[in-house]
Amino acid sequence: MEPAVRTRGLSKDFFGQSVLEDVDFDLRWGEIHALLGENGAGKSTLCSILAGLYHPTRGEMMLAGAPYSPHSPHAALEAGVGMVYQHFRLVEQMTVAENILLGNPDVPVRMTASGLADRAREVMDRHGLWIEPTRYVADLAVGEKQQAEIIRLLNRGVKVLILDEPTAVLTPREAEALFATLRNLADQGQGVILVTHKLREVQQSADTVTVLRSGKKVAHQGVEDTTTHDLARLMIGDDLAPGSGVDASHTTGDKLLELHSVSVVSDAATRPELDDVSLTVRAGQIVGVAGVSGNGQRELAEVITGLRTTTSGTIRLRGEDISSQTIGSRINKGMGFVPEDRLTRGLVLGLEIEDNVLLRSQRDREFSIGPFLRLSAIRQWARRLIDRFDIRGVRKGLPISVLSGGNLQRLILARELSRQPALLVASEPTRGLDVGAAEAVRTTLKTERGRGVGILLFSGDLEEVLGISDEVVVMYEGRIVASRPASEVDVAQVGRWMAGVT
Amino acid sequence: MTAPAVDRAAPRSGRWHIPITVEQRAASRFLQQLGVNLVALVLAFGLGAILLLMAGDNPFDVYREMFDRAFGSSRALRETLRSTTPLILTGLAVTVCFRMGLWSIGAEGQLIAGSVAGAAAALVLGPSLPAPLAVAAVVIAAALGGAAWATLASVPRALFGTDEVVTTLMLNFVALGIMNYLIYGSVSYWRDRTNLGFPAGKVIPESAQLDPYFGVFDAGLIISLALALIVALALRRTVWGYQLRVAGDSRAAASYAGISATRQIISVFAVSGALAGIAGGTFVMSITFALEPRAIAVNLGFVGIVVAAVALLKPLLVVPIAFLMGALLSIAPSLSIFGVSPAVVIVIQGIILLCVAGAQFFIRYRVRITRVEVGSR
Amino acid sequence: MNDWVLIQSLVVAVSTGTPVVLAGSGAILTQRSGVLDLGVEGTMLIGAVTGFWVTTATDSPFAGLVVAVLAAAVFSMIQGVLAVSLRANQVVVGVALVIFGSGLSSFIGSQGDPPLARRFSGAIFTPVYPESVHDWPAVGPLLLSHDPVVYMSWAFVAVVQWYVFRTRTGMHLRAVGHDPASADAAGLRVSGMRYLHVALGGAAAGAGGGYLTLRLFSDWFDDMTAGMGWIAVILVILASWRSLRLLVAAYAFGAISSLGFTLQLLGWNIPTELLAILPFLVVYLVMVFVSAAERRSQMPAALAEPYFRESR
Repeated sequence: MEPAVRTRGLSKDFFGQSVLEDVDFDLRWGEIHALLGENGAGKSTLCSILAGLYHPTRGEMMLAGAPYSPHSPHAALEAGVGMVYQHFRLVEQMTVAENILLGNPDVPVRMTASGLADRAREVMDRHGLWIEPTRYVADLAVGEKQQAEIIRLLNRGVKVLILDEPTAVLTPREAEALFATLRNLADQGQGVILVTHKLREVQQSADTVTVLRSGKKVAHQGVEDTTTHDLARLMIGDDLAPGSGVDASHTTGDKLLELHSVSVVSDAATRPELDDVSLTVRAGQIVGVAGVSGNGQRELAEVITGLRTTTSGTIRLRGEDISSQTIGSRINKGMGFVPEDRLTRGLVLGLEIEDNVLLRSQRDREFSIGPFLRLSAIRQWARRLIDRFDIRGVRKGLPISVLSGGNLQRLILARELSRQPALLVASEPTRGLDVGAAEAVRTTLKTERGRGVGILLFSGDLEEVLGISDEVVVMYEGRIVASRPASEVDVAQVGRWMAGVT
Repeated sequence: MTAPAVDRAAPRSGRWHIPITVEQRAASRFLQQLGVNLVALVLAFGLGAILLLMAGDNPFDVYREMFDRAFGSSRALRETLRSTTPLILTGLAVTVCFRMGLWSIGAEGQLIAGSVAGAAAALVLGPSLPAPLAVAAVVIAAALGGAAWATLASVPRALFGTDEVVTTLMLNFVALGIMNYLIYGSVSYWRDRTNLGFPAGKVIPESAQLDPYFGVFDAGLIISLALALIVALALRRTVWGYQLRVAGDSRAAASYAGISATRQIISVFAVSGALAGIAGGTFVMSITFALEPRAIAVNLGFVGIVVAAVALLKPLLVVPIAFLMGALLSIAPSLSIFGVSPAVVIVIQGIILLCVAGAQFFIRYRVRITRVEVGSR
Repeated sequence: MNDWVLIQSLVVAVSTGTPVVLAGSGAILTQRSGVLDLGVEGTMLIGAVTGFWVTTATDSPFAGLVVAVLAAAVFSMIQGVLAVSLRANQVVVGVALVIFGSGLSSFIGSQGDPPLARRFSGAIFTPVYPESVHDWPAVGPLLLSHDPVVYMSWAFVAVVQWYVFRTRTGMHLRAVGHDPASADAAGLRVSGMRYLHVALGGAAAGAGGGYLTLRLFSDWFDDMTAGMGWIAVILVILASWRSLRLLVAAYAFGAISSLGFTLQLLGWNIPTELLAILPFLVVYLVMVFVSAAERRSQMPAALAEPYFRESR
């Protein structure tokens, strides 16, 4: 039988840089095929080409034995290839039924809500999946949205289903449900491509695995023929030593940040976003917060830094109650913050570098006298940060939107660290960076710890949390479910806590 | 995000393919932006010429005549400069709001509020004050009047998120109605009670009237030029201006930087309102010399939007653009003398704004004709 | 207030509100597609002047209305090109269209000999049913005394409501307005839908403008819309993008606008300048009140946001 998808010599260049090189990839019908690789390894690019979002620079593709070159996602969909993106293509303000049937030519011109729901039920029955069709998408849990998205694609006649990091937003239980669904689809003869960088997922759910590194295929084998250890080596390469582990040579100091029973309840939410959270960060200590995204980490970071107000409980910085203080006064008291949304919150992309190094320091004596800015001082400061943190690509008179992702992240870190904060709240400081840049960020964090800075690190990367933290805190549904020294826990145990298993 | 977004004009069916690629530019140079806007301006006059042709007029004659009447004599120049003053101010008012992403279209109403307050100050304080002090009093009163009127939109916006487009618009009509009422609907303090004929505003005392200096310049123009400079410096060199620029680019970044949205919105609106209010005050002092609804409510606030947009929201560029628009405005009444509808001026202003709005596309995106292999099916 | 005054006031409220009903229902379609067309005021003026022009030439108000609708639809394509294809700032484009529409309509009105603005049109819309039924108690004046455009506006409101919520294309329209990226992924033509509904909205605004010259004022003069187009755009927000609610809001606007007429019937005398403020003041206050009270909006989530297919 012809393979579902076959590519030969597939390559893609962006602006002269090769991101995918000579990739031969085969997907058989009825298999779950994991596409494994680090960030920037080219797996998203490969999928985007298959899904019609990009055109390959070179190479050819076959779908079920016929030449295949979709020029739009829609053309790919018509041909039977559909992709589940991390941002679901669902209209939040409409119902599940409407979403499943959107763009479906079989829907009658005149219709009613109940007629639509019946039709959606039929579709779901056919594929053995179920979500109440009259519910609004906005009210669904993330896992349910993902199911709705899969149903939507199946209804469009998709035979090859591509999922881009589908478990990044799921709880472990939801992830298991998803894998069961995918297995069921594969048994029905669908081809499933699962993009991931999590080794356990590959072992747990896939039949076959293709490993990409720096845009090249480095392996293609059956999952049963390989071990997690092999895959890790293939994915990362031999040049990188494993995580450096806990550095025992430093001492921790006084209590810096203390949270006592902090809760946040917003009127819209059914359960509190933060529920009775207490934690302590000492000087010279990294406290790592682990958890599946969406379990209160964002809220916790925001409530500490002042972007969100507490409903109850107290936050103390060096013993002083700062719970109701403004963001500005928290900044003055030495709180640095690397926010999760670095492009929309951490930086002002439309402004120049000087304006960006000034962010959060505009009231600082060093940079302003009364209402006036000290432009020359700011300019000098910007130049020093550029040199010291090796920020490249800055062009005078142009906004920082011309910088690359790694340079932008360095810019935020440079700014927040250079003000010599007592406490640094860092949310996902390495997300989206390549392996080398991420390691550099971790080294910087450890250096700062050595200088006595207290660091609260939020990261979805469990190995990162365990690798550099002194203390690990696990969040689940807005609560802290575990808090242990990093040396006393292992990945499996933390994973269970993250899933809400105690 | 850092890789430029690529938007392929991809077709639905597989049979044909438009070979155009649209790429978002990461950034563009100031001169590039200016160039695109100048092209848009020329295009606007070209489209205006087509309209004139369709109406049976010779566009070259009309444009030459317009040019003469705007710049051809010192009298013409004086009139042009008089019309320039309020446009610099409303242009600045719009610039300040738009720079923060506050889409206020309330300069019109704030200008009216400024005229009413300014005229009141002139009538009450004018007789007892020497000229410079009387002028200062009018300017201050007009600024306060405009700022107060803007606050009616800014406070709901800051507290409840009430859409400022809606409130500023409605407040324009309310302000206009109030001014009409003061002169036409009642025997108010502003109305000339000695005149028994058609209702008119009471003429302000001479100490508050602005005479042109050196034949062309008047104090109003000097005030507006000074304010353009001050606004430019404030945006560039003050904490307030910095916070405005940050908030204008990213609200999330502004709150991250500890900038209070409430305070910033209210202060930006107040400054904007004050600028528009001063436009009303100087208009009364140098052109109408009384609260004259028909002369004051001539869309100077709306033209301010044209000025600000063409000037790329740069305070110093507002000055030359206001001069150009002022020239257009000042010749409008005289156009009918040689058989062309004065509405042509408004049409051209509208087209200019449309062209400039459309031209921003070519600043933000790069459009190229590309060769893409056509997909085989 | 006696019954006769009440009924007469309602009748006047209906005819005063009709341009807003038409333009507003059209604006619902435009805004539902995710385009905020603030230029309605200008589009109405184009409809008003072209409708008047054709009617003075042909003596047929129906011909005038058809041309008003077509001319306004064409005019609104400026919004389409700028907002949809060139992704321009829709607030700026809206203001520009009002300025342009005001100037262009005034320019057209100054053409001809004698100029349009000084002509008088004898041909206007007249009530559909004979005078005799107008006097039937309550129903007569309220339901049977109107001209054909009023009945058309009622039909239009019903059709818009049905179309948006009960048809496949209506479902697509809502999807495009809320989330163009998802709609695109589902294979809908986002730009095409937006162009179409900008044109439909423009056409309806043209009908509203035509009604001004062909019935309400029976005459053309510069800037005769006097803010009605703006009001129509804003009432759409207050009506939560639903045409039946818009009908009520538009008639409430009509009632407030024609309050002077009512008060005159009651023998009160209030300066017209103050009465002219009233509708705008009320809309301002209601908008502030509504935004203070309500937290969740039904606004099309992508309103005024240009869409382009973006990779990465």
